[in-house]
Amino acid sequence: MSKQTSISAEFLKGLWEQSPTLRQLLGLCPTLAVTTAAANGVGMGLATAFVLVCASLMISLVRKLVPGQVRIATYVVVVAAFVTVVDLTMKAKFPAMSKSLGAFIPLIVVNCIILGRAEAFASKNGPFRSVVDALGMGVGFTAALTFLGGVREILGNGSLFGVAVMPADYDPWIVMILPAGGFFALGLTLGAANIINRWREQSALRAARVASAAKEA
Amino acid sequence: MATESSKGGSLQVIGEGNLSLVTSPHAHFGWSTARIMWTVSLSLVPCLASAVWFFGAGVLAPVAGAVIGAAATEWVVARLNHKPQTLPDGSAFLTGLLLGLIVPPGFSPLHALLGGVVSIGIGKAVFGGLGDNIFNPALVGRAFLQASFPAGMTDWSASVARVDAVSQATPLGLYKFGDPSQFASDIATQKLLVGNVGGCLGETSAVAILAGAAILLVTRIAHWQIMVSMVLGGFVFGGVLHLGGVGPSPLFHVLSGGFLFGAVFMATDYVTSPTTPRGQWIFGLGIALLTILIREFGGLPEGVMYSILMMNAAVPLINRGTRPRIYGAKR
Amino acid sequence: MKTTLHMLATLVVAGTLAGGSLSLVNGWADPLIQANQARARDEAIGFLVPGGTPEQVVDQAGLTAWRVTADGATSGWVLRCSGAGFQDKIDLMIALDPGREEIRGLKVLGDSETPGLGTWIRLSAEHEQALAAAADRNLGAAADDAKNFPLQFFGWGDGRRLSAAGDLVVVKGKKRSALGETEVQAITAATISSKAVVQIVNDAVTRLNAVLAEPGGAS
Repeated sequence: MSKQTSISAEFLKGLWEQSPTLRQLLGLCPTLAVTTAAANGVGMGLATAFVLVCASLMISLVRKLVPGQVRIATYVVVVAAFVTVVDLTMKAKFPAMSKSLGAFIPLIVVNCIILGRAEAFASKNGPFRSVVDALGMGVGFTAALTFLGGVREILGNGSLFGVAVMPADYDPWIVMILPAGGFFALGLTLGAANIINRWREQSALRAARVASAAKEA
Repeated sequence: MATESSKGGSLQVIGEGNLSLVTSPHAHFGWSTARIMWTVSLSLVPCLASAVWFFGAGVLAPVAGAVIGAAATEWVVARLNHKPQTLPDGSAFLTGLLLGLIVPPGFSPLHALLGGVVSIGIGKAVFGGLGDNIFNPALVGRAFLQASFPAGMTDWSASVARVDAVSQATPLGLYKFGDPSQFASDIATQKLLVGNVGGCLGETSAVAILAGAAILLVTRIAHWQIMVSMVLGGFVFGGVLHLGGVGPSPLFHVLSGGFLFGAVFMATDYVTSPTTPRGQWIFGLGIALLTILIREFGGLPEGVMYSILMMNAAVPLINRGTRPRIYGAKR
Repeated sequence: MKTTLHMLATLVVAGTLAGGSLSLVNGWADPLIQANQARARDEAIGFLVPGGTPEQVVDQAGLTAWRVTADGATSGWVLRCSGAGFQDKIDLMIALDPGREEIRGLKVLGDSETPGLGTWIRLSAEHEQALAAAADRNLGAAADDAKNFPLQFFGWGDGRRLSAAGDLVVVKGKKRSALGETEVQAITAATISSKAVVQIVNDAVTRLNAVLAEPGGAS
């Protein structure tokens, strides 16, 4: 850890290279369960991102004060407090969204992305860097959930963010908003992400080969 | 490496020269994959004919849709994977044909096409192609359609005059949700045998299915153990319940819905059924038991599809448990 | 020893801070949450029996009932009741006429039915608007479509409405207009959800009548 990566790279890695959903495969329960509509994906993603940022900041601030033996317990207390704040706020201010996300808001406590970033990053880095990392991960998670929710809502309900986007005689594929459709959408999205990554690796290899050939010549 | 594809699709001869290695199985049936698949497709002709006879020529549209969807997906997947084209072996055609025969009359051809795409794409290709799939591809496609278009998949109203007044519902639907007194008089065994009742295209006529079964058994393509055990299981489990005062006669269980079609054409799929005779008995009896349980105690009128899919998932376990003892090995 | 104390102190401090801040947030959020629930309830009652003052007359487990009065006379009854659906509890409200003889409306407040099938028990936003605008709160022939399941509980034209005697039954495969006042047309492919709603409605009206018939009952 002698050489620090740049701040922008710290943020951007959460969007694709280390995307919590597409690359780390973390937090899949809420991913599968709530992405029946794009708006749910946004709501769940933002709620998780908020908890992630707050918890990362707090944990990074206290990382030197907490003894190693009880660090996980402390992190859980911190995370649980922020999750409860989010849960109460949503119930008070966004009752409709809170109703559609149901039990999955309280369950952010056990979302492995949050404890994962706390353990892998915030407990080893300064507050600023931790917040940037959490923001990147939060945005990456929100983007992935919104994408999955969008795909499932378009196919399964013929709409996007509640607005009809398919032709009027479109017969929605109801399976896509059932649990099975969550697995279909996630599995195919992961497969597509792997294909894209393979292309990127191959084109990077090719570019490197061209560069070395040019140097020799 | 040379492939003896002309004789047997699965027979591979490795190495050229003095020493040649041949992968198992060494005892070969002698038929290529393509010949088997096209023969099974031929055995479905009676069912297709009965569908056209009872429901009108319009039923060819969803069948064609399913076949085109399955075949096109097979072709595209082979292209994308840069593998030799597997379309001519007929397995995708067969999957599409099977799927087309287990949708209701009047089912949208476009939806059937989608079902064909899902059958091959999600039911087979993602597992690695023919031979590697866990679940029967045609049934995966049907399960997708059932979950996607529940109204279209349970709409039995489109049929012609040869299917009489009860065509508004399937016999099982009448039994589960209808008036019991009407049920007894309307559904005669004779009708179930001939097939002039409501139902999915290929499943209504027991006679046509048995003609197909005869072809499969004479050519020894299908394992008789699976067919016999499933039908026997239907009689035994349905009979026990019937004697206990629950449910219709076992004969009705076996002749109605997709029971016979499933036993003859779906459960006997090589890839997704057990390899040992003992395992095949367990498999067939298991499907029959699950079907009767779903029909009697579940929320659905029919359970053959889910029963076969569930037992498909159990096949690796059954194969493991029924492996024959190696001669001389300890018990 | 020192480490143990350190560990204890850390957890105590973390727990205290978390608990303290949560009680603050709860103090702010709780009244808002209560107000949200009350507003949702009042809106539903106001939709089902418009233009009156609800007065709660029954409050039991699984059944709450309000008598709505306007100009000194009973203008209707609203029952909130719940029961087992296809997957989870269905929570719904029904409206009765002042004499508790016929059903005047149905609104599902919460359910976990299968999307695209059992969820047809819910009243769509368009229908809710249309009903609120209709003088006789009745969309007539629109109730013939099996997808418009809840419309039957508002009536299907010419003042025909479902019976509130707790004797409703579900019928499959027939048009609404061909059915009687104790028969409810099932949603296609969602018979179980349809039956669940009818069961809840039957139980609720039967219970309400039993409670009101008791001497010293809330009536």
